[in-house]
Amino acid sequence: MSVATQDSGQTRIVTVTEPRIDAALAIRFKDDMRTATKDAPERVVLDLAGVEFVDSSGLGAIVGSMKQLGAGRRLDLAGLTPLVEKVFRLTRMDAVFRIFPSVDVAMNPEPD
Amino acid sequence: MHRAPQLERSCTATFEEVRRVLIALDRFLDNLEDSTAPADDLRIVAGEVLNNVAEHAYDSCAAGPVRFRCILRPKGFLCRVEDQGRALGDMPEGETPDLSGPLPEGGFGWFLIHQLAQGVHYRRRGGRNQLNFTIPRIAAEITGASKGS
Repeated sequence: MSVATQDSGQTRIVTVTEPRIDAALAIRFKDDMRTATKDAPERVVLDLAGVEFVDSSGLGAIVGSMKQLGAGRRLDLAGLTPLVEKVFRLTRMDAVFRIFPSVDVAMNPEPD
Repeated sequence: MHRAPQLERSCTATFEEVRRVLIALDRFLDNLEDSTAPADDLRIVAGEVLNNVAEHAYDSCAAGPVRFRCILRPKGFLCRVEDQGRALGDMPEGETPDLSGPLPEGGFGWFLIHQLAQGVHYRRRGGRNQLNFTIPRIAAEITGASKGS
């Protein structure tokens, strides 16, 4: 598995355990995400703090992971490292996801 | 005179082998003593270009070689990627991803290349594909340097 899971209240935290979500991992990552979120509560937070590299295939796999959650559940992102943040910003995917600096902040967000 | 930092790596054009080249590129970039080198931009573009070769240039059952070269010059990283696969045809322009409808899960690769690289030039020569591009130094830092001179 390229991810590890932990539930906290009504949130499932999915931590990526591989340093690169790239073309070589993308298909397996999306499958692992399906397994990791199959019986997940309404909210899933994907912890990317340990990921130093995401390419367009990896980005597509993260988008696909959100889509396969289906309506009524949502995927938030946390802990983007600088390169990963740049890929999300350039492709404007930073407007599609709620992004938090860390899992801690994602679990205790400031009120909007 | 210091020798300009440069890297050359070849591999079989598969996603796994490309990852090895990109990890070698990481090591090269981590060791550069040049704080204005656009390291992350090069990591992103090299990944897109090399994986594009792995995905499209060869039949999956007979992946051939791909070679990556880069050299750090004052204007940035000058890069060349060569393979012996099928011709690329017209280089995709890399349109802005359309986020208005169902979210796309692909099509970001050439967009990222064109966002981060300059002078992207493709040519077919002697049965080889050759893609040249430059990863410019970060604009703010170039401005800062020219102010001081």
